[in-house]
Amino acid sequence: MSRWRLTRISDIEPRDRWVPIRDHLGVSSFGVNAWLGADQGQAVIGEHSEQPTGHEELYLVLEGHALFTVDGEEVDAPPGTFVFVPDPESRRGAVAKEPGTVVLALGGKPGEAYSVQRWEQGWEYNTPAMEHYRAGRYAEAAAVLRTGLAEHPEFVGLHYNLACFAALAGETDEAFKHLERAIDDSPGIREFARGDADFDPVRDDTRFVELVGAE
Amino acid sequence: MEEHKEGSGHEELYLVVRGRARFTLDGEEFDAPASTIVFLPEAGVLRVAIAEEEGTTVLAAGGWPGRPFEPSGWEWAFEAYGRAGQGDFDGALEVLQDWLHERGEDPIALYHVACIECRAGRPEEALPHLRRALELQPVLEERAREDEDLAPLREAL
Repeated sequence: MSRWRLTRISDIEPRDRWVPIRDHLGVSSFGVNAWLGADQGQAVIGEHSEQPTGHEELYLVLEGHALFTVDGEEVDAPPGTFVFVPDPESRRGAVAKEPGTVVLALGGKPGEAYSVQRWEQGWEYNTPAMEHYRAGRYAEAAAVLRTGLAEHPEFVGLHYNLACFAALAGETDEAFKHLERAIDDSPGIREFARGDADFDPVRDDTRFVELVGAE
Repeated sequence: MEEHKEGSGHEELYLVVRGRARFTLDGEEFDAPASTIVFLPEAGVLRVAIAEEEGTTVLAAGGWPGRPFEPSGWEWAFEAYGRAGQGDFDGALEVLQDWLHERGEDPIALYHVACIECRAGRPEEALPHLRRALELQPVLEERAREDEDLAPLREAL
């Protein structure tokens, strides 16, 4: 590796909305990425908690204008705004209030050495799958991830996302199979799945309750 | 950003958030407009950045690969020297006591205590702190011999 690397955020090839700064530069001591909201109203940071990773996260609005929602509370965030979410359990998300919004995200787990998060794996499948997902083409999204898992059955993030897409596509048995696999590998995902609206179609199924517990 | 190497051993990432900076890395200059990221995986690179525009802001993030992060001592040192620069020596020493309370007998913290006590005109209080710092980290002696703050103690070293 060279002794330094210089780049501009716009020079890093985005993977869907995700600008993989950490992966591009080889950062290994903390998580750092940028997220894009090309259009007004588009999600920049998808609603999620950091329960599976245990990360505290710091967000910085670099360009545009974002509206954050943290545990139901809205935070207006023009450029230069920091939003620090120390509790991994907090549900957070951000939408672009202006086209071209860019949010930097940094994270790590207090008291632990950083390790690359497994959600970064399989981006070459997740990127096209997410395009189908956002367009409501759940069966097509699931098909892309089946291909990915045929090549990389160890990518737990693909199992989780396939569980989501299969649940939405009405492929209930397949959804539970992959959700169980994801939870076996990363038990922290259980809590995440409990609050994930993608599982609403199967929420009343006893298998869902058995896997993730009651709300 | 002042000229320095990362004595902490951190890898560091700098992002020009606003304005325009000129980075110099081991003597090589780079223009860095807003949204430029400079990543230095090697702590030994001598780095400095100056503002090319008013209001230039650079975000810095760092950590050790394979080790949990903990706040660096310079955060206390910066605050302490800021207070000392305004003549608030007792306030500066309180900040350094917080550092010692948080991290135990840290030789760098003790070294800075000695510096501030000298600035405050209390070399007799500074000497035992400096001696303990050098005992814990003998490599500091070379720095101490050239440190203007510690001039009143030079003969005692």
